[in-house]
Formats: sequence, structure tokens, C-alpha cells
Amino acid sequence: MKTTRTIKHPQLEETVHLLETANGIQIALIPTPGFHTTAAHFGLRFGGNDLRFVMPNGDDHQVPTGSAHYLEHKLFEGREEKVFDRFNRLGANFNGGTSFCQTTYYFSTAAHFDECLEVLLDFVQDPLITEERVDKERGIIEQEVRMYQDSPGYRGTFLLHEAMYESHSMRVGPGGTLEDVARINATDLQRCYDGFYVPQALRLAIAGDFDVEEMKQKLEPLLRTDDTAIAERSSDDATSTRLTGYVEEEFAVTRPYVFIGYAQREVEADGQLRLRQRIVASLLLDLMFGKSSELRQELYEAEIIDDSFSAYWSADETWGHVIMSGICDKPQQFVDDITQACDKFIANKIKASDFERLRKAAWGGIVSGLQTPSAVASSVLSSMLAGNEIFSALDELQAISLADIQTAAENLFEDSKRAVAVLTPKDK
Amino acid sequence: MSFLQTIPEFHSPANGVTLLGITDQRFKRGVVQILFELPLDASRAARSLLLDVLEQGSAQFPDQTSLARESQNLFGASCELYTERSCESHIVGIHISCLGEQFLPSGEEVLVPILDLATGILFEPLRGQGAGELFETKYLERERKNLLDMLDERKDDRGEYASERFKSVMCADEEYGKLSWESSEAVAAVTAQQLEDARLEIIQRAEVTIICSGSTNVDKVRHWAAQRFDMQRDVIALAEPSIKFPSALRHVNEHLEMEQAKLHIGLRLHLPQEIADREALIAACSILGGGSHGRLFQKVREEKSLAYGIYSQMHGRKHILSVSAGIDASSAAEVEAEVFKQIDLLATEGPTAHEIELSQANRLNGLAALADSPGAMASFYHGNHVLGLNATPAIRAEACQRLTAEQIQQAATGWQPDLVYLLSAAE
Repeated sequence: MKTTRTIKHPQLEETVHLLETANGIQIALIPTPGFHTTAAHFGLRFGGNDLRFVMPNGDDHQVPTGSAHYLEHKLFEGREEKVFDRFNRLGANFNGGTSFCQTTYYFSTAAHFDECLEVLLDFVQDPLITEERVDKERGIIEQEVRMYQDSPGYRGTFLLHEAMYESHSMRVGPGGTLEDVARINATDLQRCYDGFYVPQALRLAIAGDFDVEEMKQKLEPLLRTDDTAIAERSSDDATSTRLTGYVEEEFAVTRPYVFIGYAQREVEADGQLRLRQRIVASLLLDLMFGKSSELRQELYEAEIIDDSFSAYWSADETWGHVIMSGICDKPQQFVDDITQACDKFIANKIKASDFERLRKAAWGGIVSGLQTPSAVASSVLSSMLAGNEIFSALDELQAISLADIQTAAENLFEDSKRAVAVLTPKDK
Repeated sequence: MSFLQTIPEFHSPANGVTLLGITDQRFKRGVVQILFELPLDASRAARSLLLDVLEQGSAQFPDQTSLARESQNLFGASCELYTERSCESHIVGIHISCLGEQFLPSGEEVLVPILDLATGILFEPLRGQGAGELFETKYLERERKNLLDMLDERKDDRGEYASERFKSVMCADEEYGKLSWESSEAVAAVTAQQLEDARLEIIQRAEVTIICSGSTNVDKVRHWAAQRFDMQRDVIALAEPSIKFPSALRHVNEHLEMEQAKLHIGLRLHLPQEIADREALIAACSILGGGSHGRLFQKVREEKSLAYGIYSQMHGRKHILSVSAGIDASSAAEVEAEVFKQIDLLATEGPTAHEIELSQANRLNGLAALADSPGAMASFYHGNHVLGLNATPAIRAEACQRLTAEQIQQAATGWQPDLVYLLSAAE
């Protein structure tokens, strides 16, 4: 294992030591002196969107939706003993998570760190997947998926994704459909594991009050030494599958839930550029619809929106979008008013004073977000998986100009990129 | 493993105002919570609507935009006003968060300005434009409509709604069963004068607790509070939470269109005052369903695959323990039977040594980890303060480590099943 770099960020008062094993596992060690807990976050770029891939031997595989999430559940089964039981004996807080593009496993503990680290690296790097074990988990996962299906926010978001993406894997949540969960088998999960859970894809971030050299020595014998090649994901087409339109679905809601999406065609593939794109989009949406925005105040006073209104930007290599949503009585009127408001915002130039004020607030948010070892480890792993420079958000924030925001606004909110999804009450 | 031995600072900067300081300069952000505690009386509908009206602006910052801009200028400091039912009291809360002084550019000050801004909303509200108009009528009516809409939309969140209905049904004739806004009808009937009366009552008659955590400068808050609350205050005494035991187990099944049914099982018990007894009860609850180490998780989820999650919890100062799970409605009877079987086994046979080991490991890690979370520290010390327990995490940890199987078994006896509540789709 070699140290590749040490990054010190004086404003954040954080230092990260970056290491890499000979077979490509990347590790970030972040000492946080004075803290009682130590957190380790282990993950890889493999998530709900990865449904088709070519193995290093050339075999082409397609797996059901929800496979990455199902695999995450199965890894917690452990080989000899359930991971829950091992962590519980040590008293650690632990969990895992699967998003569209990533899977992560993590723990935080105030004691028995060495043993917890051994458990984490063991169960993620050495699982046992059998048909019997896969079948046993099915009922639990079905209950999890059903839980999401009762949420209007969840259903509305994916109805909108269906309107925005014709054949893209973003149409289905990382948990998969109930139909697919019912047919996932051990072969599917083993293929996913063999294709993506390989050293060169694995990333580990550890934050706590420890000595860096000692930690390196602890890690050395716990990490895989094989040099397995990674599968090649058959990425969704980033540009040709987008649809726009208006879709409605009846749902058990009290009033209509409206979701307006603007697909972003030009998503940056490069992690650092995408980080900048993310900060620009975040500032833009705050300028448009944040609580300090005159536009939001106008919409609120005109009773077009209420506190249920929200707007966010999200993206990865092959997809990107803004989603604005709210609960209202007249969906079409809501859509018309919001889109007109967007047009008006773009036509009026953004004030420099507004931009600088929001930049100042964002600065405070970035600094204070790195509050605990767990938050630091999580943030660093996110950067590693997204492929952007660790602790660079403040520098990117300073480098962004008002013109960047104005340009983003003009590119994002085009009628031709807009789709709308509405959940309507069943009895109306 | 080390545990905090910190004894919080207590100050009384004004009559009826307690300041609790558990600060630590390791943290990048400071948090100040100002809690105004009042009975769950007839004014609660007015209080709930009042906050929505007040948030439209203050005398100094006359609209939401200027309020938000000022807090952004304070390096993203934030303040949030809220009301909630806390056990059998009504809380009006102000949650303030700002960057610690050591992370601010030289010469910048954010703590006192954000305290002034947040409390200015309540103390120096935006008045109506018309002569004698207490609040801007158009704001009042708009916020009333928004609140009524929001109350209607509660059912859209099946999990939250089931939890609310469970408490309302189980404690129908107790304060704990009351909704913090009373009812939609009560909100619809609130007048501007009632809003103003509610505002003055919050300022002048509520018991006030200020909790400073993270990197907050306690001295600054103390001096600020002494000035802010420099007035005659006639604090309303609050009653202790009631204890009630059921005559028989009730089953209530309500229906909503939903994919996954929500099951809540409520039991009555006595909350002990002694630290050792309380730790024994915490251990019993933990062994039953306090996490993935709990019996219910192991039996209902891991062995039978009947739920994604099933957990037990105690309800703060209220003498209730409940179990909740998201399940398939058809398996409700099976899950219920398993829950009662495990409760019975815990009371009759006690926990195993392995179960004690797991619950202790979980509890001790939690107590040690408190030191790294300003929110958890604030919650722990404030909970202790409310319960009248002067125990540091170190004292609680020591009590936990001394627990015997007999103590835990004893703590699990006498739990009386009161209600099995199921929210599910109609058959």
C-alpha cells in the first residue's frame, strides 16, 4: 500500500491521507483528533442503474431491476455468521445503502474499532451467495419496496422519471419492481458481485482519532490481494432516450401532487466538472426558489405554491435533471405558473448581490457539514466515488461566477426538456 | 471506551428561563434550541397557526425574503420555528444553528444576530397595515388555508398517520392523545386576537429552556437571554404525565388505501425514577426490539421474513412502551402473537446472557458516541433535566454495566397490553 497524496485544507481544518493498494483499492484516512468515535465507509460505483454489463470474459449479462440493492442485503448475511450479529456484539452503529449508481457499507463506533473494521472488510470482500439465502431475503425486500410504494413523493418522482426517460434505468428505483424482486436469483447476484465488487472499484474512507501509520498496518492484511478485472457497464444512453410530456396517475392522495422535471442533456462525465455543475445548479435553484428569492415570495403570496414546494438538481454520468414539486388544487395552472416564473427569472438578470449572499451561505453550509467523523467519512467516500477532488467544494464555490449561474439557467429550463407527472386523488 | 463526565452548565438568566450549556469547541457548528413549554390546552390551535403567521416576517424584517436574506448573510445561519406535542406538553420551539466562531472570518459575529432575528419573529412581530390590525389579515387567512391543507394531507404519509392515530386511539382521554393543533375546526375558528393572546402567553407564561450545544458561546447566549427575557413572567406550572392502566386489550383496525399495513402495539408500564431501574427498563426494551439485535427483529424479520423493520420504543416521560412494524395485513395476527410471546418470555424467563451482552454493547456504544454529536448530547442532557435525573453518560454507563438478568427481567414484568392498532387497506 502506498501513500499517493496528502491533502490539507486549512479553512476546513481537515487533512486527508490518500493511499492505494497494488491492485487498485483506494483509501482515504482522515484523522479527527479529539473525537470519540471512528467511522469507516466502504463503497463502490455499482448501483440500481447497473442492469446490463459485459464480464471481463466477454459474457453479456442483464439482471433484473433491484439486483444491486438485493445484493447489498445479501452481503449482510455474511459467510459464517450474520453481519448484524457480529456488529451487534461489538455495539457498533452500522448500515448499508444502494442508490442509482453506488453501494456503500459503513459503521461508526466508540470501541472495538479494529474488530468492526475486520467485519466490514470481511463481509463486503468475501460473501456467500446461495439460492437458499437469496430466497430467504425476498419477503423482507418485498416489504421494503412496498413501504416506498405508499409514498406519494416516491411514486410521483418515478412517474416523472418514466416521462423523462424512455428506456433508461432511471425509470425504476434502486429497490426494483416487486415483479423483478420476485425473480432475482443467486446467479444474478453472483454475476453482479463478480463483475463489480473488484479491488480496483473499491473505495474506503476512515475518519477518527487514529495514527495514520498504525491504521495502514491494520488495513494491510484485511484487504483483498487479487487483481480481478472489472465488468464493463452498458451505460444508458445519456441523450437519446429522453421524452417529455404530461402523465397522470391516480393515487391515494388528498390533493394533486405535481412533479415538473427538466432533463439536462449536457451532464458532465468528469467528476470534478460535475461537482462544479452540482454547486452551480444548487446556487441557481436557491436563487430561484430559496426562501430569500423574490420569485418564491411572489409565487407564495399569489398562493401558487405553499411550503410543500421544493426543487432539486440531481445527476450522474448518463442522466441529470431538475425536479420541482408541490401539492396544489389545479395542476395545470400550477405547471403554467411555475414554468412562466422560470422564464421570467431567466429573462431578468441575476443580481450580483444575491449571488454573493448565497455563496456566503453555501460556504457556511459546506464547512459545517463536516462536523463528525461519520459525516467526514461519508463526504470523503462520496467524493471518491464521484471522482472529484476531496474537500474541493469550497474552492469550486469560490471559482463560480455569476455568468456560470446565468448560463446554467438558460440551458436548464427549456420547454423542450420539460416533462410533468401528476398524482391525482382517486375520488376526484 | 470512555464516556462523557461533563456536567452541563445551568444558568437562570431570567425568571422561568433555564439555560443548559453542553458546548464543545471541536464542533464546527453551534446550536441553540429555545423551548417554550405550555399545557396542551385550548390555546394550542392558535399557537400552531400563530407560528405560520409569524414566519411571514418581523417588525425589522417585514417579509420572508428579507428574513432569509439576513440569515444567509450570517454565513448560512438558520432558524426554524415549530410546534409539537412533547409528552403531555405543548412545545413552541426555535431551533437556531450557526457556524462556530473559530470558523468565521475575523471580526464576523453571527450568534447574537441570529438569536435576535429568530426571536424577533416572536417578540416583535410584523403587524397589519390597517389601524389596530394585529396581524396582516391576508397573511393570516393564507396561512390558515395552508395549515388546513397540510392537516388534510397528513393521511398521505401512511407511516406518520398510523403513528398519530395509534397515540390518539390509545390515549383518547389523556393529554398524550391530543393533537398539537387540536383539530381542523379549531384552527378554522382562531381569531387574530386569539393569536395575539397566544403570542403573549408564550412569551410571558411559558416555561423556557434554552439548550446550547456544539460550539456555541454560552456566555453570549446567557447575556443575550437576560436581556431578551427581562420582563415580568408568570410561568404556568405544568402537570406530570398521567399514568393509566387498561382493563383489557383492545384491537382497533382502521382503513386507508395503502400497500403496506402499519401495526402498532401499545403497552402500559411504570417509568422508574432510579437510574439503575431505568437502565434495566432501557435494556429490556432494547432486548425486545431496540434494533437488529432485538428479539423481534430476529424472530419477525430474520426468521419469518414478515417485516422489513420491527422495533420497540419507550415514549419519553409517558408511561408507555410500543412496538411498531410495517407488514402485510394478512400476517398481522401472526406478528401480534409473536410480539406478545416474546414479551411474555422476557418477563417469565428473563434475558439470556448473550442478549444482555448485545444490549449492553449497543447501549454503551450509544452513550460513548454521544460525545461526538451535539444533537445527541443536547437531547441526552435535556432529557435528564426533564426527568430530574442528574446522571452523566459515565454514570449511566456504569449503571448499565452492573445490570443483572434479574433486574432486566423485573423491568419487563408488569407491562400491560393496552392496544393493538392496525392501519391497513380495506379488504
